[in-house]
Amino acid sequence: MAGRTADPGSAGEALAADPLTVLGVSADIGEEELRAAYLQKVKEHPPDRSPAEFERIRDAYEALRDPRRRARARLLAVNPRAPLTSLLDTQPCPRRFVGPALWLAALQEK
Amino acid sequence: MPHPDPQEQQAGAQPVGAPTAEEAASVRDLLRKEDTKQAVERAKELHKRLETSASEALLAEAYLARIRALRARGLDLEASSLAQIVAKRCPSARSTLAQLFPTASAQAAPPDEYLRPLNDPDLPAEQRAAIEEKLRTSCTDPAALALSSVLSSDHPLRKAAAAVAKAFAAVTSGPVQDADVALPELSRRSPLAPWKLLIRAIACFHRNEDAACEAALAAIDPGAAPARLATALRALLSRTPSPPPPPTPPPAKAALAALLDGVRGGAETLATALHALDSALGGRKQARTRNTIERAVAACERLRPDLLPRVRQEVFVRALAARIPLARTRAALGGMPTLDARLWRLYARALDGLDAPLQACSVWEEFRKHALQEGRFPAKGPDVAALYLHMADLLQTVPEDRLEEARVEFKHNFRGYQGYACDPPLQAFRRAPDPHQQPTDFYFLNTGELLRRACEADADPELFRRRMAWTQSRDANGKAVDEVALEWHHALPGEVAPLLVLLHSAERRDALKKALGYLKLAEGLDGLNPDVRRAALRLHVAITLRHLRERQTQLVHKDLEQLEALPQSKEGRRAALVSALGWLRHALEGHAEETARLLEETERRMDGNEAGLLLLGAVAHACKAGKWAPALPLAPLADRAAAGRLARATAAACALGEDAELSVEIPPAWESSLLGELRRGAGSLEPPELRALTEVALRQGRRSLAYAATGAGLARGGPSTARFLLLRAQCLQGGAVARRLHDLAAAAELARAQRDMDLANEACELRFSTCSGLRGAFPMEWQASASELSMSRETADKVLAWERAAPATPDAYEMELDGAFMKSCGCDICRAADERRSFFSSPLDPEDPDLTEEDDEEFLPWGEDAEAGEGLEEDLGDESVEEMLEGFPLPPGLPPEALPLFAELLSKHMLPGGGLPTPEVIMRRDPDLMRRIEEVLARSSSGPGFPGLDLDLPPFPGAGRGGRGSGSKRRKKRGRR
Repeated sequence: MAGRTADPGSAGEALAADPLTVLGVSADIGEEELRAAYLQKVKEHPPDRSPAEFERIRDAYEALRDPRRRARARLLAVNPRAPLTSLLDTQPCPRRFVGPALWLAALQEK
Repeated sequence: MPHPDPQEQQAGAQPVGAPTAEEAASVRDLLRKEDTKQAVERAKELHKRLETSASEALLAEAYLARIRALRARGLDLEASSLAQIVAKRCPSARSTLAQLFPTASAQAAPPDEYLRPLNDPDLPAEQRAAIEEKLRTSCTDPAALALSSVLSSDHPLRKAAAAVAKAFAAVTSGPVQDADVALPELSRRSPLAPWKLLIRAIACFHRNEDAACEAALAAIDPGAAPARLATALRALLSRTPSPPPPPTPPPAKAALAALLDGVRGGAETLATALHALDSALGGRKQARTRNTIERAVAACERLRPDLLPRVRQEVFVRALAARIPLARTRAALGGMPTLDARLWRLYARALDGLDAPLQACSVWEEFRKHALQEGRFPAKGPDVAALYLHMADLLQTVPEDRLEEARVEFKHNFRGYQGYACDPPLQAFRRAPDPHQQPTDFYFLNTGELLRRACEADADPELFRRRMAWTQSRDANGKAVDEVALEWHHALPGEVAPLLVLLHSAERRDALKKALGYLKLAEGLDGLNPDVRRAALRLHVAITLRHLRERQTQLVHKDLEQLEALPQSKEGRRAALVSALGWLRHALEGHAEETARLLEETERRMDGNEAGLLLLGAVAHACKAGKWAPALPLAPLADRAAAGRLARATAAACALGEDAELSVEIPPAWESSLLGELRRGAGSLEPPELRALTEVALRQGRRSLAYAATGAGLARGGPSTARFLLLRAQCLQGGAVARRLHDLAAAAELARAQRDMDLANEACELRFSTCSGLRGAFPMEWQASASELSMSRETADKVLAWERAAPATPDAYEMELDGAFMKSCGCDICRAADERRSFFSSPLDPEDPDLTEEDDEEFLPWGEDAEAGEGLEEDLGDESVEEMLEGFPLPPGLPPEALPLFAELLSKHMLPGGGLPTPEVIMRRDPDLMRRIEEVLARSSSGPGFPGLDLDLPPFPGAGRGGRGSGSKRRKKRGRR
């Protein structure tokens, strides 16, 4: 059987955590933002203090810095099995003014 | 925290269902003008129209202002009556009402007897502090305090409470500036000071200054009354999607829920509707689902119209997944969702996880077309290449022998997704031939074509490598390999890899001159590349061998000179190869003295008599000069030193043979001696020699030997461990599935830790092909999880330890993981393998409902009606021929021996709806069956003859939806088997 895993990204995906999650970035991120996210993560987890975490971060960055792997991540970045309520998370919730009554009612509620 | 669009907030844009900013402002304007009656009327109208928590809050606000106004005018009775009505209509106002009417609740405002002493200017400081502390912790409505009749109208506390109430009303009713709610008259020591912080926190919240909001909340004394709203504000700050509330929220938290829902614009209400829809889709109750879809879509339309297009798409795809017919989904949604690239990708991803790779590819193709049309990505580039590659991956999950059949079936039934846009929508899979159908390019069902397009879209070496690996896996020596290599070479002329493939291919065809040409090109690109150097050695050896084979010994002298001139021919034991080739030349020419000298030289260069003899034998056999092969010594049975020597010799010869692609036969007579030595650890062998020995043994089908060699390799430890684990997996036989998969996953993990991605990919590749080969033997979900298995380092070490401790008995290569390991591991593979083992080790229960009961589960292509693609391929299973043919209009005079064949014909080829394909189609798909039917009919002189049989049969009684219930029983039985 020919190389399913020679496919850019798939071996990494099978073996390590999702690089997008590790770096906390979205699939359509650009080169610059990716680098910034990587440096930020490295700052949070320097190799001398958390070597294992640093290695995960580096692996994730290595996986994503290749535009082809990013393209693959972009392609597969939808999850049709996520709960429908997660749609509410994709758009910011509005913050509406409701007047004092509701606030006071909540405050007075035991 | 999500930040709402400031423009939206500035403009006061409200979703449908909440009062618009203008509507709310008009009510509050009236309140400001103290026209409370009119304000109540307007708020009532609004609430009647909208009936949301926000409109109720506005109504409650107007009512409360009205009640206060009545009380201010001394109309306490009217105020009290109105309060009772309001308490019924607006639950959210009850607490405030309780404050306004202390008889209803003692908690709403501090009792008069507490406040009255504050009028006394000579009140002792201690008593004043106690009263203020009581106010600080219990005052939950500053407006009520501001209206307190026991304090004088110019009392500072009343004034402060009035200011707080005004600021609180302002900050919760619309955008405010800091200066508007600064409350400078409130000192830090005031019992109402925590309100100032709360008001600041709410102002920051509405300005999306979340950090400042958090800081203000943190500054509120946790014991103060306003601190109780900190929880609500923090919940509002959280980005986490609103958790759906339980079906009936406990009354104690109803007001909090109403606040959260109101501020979030009905997010909780919508979340509840979506959650209910998720549950309904999971429950597969179609009637219930339809109602729930309608409710969820209506809620979204009312509360979050901005989300509606996405919600409709998601619901559409999930409804297809839940096998709700297209037309019904469309009706529930009130029309089709937008059929854009987003929807097709979502649909394709949903199919990716199911056993429908061909259909998934067809949907991915639809996505590609729409994405190009929408300009999501260009026609060429990494994005489209990634897509082609993904489709190729999907097709590779289908075993090759089934793929062609599935492809024919798919092409026969597929009519495209254009019909989805029609009204009513048309299924993508037809029930009958469609003469008007446009021809479809089914390239997306062809792995080779997909890989070709991927390479064309993005000339990436990795893609070419993939394509080459796939092509070689189908036909390692075919022309296609050369074609791919040539395309690769033309697309990326700086790459050495395609030249090496072409070189190898030419070498295999014995086109050695051509191979030399490719070698020159490769050396020109990267002469120091180890693969190029190895290829050069191999090619020169091959040229020499050919000359020897053709007995052109006069040319061999020059060949050997060229071979010796290569620096790599002097590395390791390679010099022995030159000696061995020279030995054969002289032997063929009859130079006894020189032959003896070179034989001795070969033995010396191989560090031993046995190794030298093995190599000479291999050279002689490769040149069809077997009679010159020297006799090998017999294997010693008891002499451990001699056994060690044999093992070293075999390993050395194998390693050199692997290097020069010279086949070295492991003498069968040595096997038991070798096995003994390897099981003792074969301490004198280096890991590369052990690896070569394993690979040669595997190629020659000597599994015991290979298994023992991997055992010795695993015992060595070090960087080769991952390789030996992979080789160990290759040694294992068919039954030890869980063990093989664990070894491969552990090998991949260890290789990854060493950053040897080639080896990691090789392990993943083998795991994937192992899983593909298991289709039908394990449940679908298990295969998916097995092919994607990843392993922690800890588990990989456990697997390694298990393999190292595994016994080295002769049939150990057939042994599965033991139960203790499976239980301690607990992964999906272990669980399934353990269950499978238990199942097979227990006798079948004839009362098992799975084996006896009919079930009405239908086999559908995903998202289509039952008739549209019911399983076409069934075996006869245990169903009797009579059962199969019951009610079937058989031609008269059919010989009895033809009945089983007709039953088989129906079982294999009956179309959804009950007919049979044309004889030509059946002939193409199943020539063997047709031949057998024709033979039987021809033998029967009274038989109707095949041409007389009307194959365009009427629907088979009971066919179609649920009519093949016994088919599902058969499937179940087959699955259990």
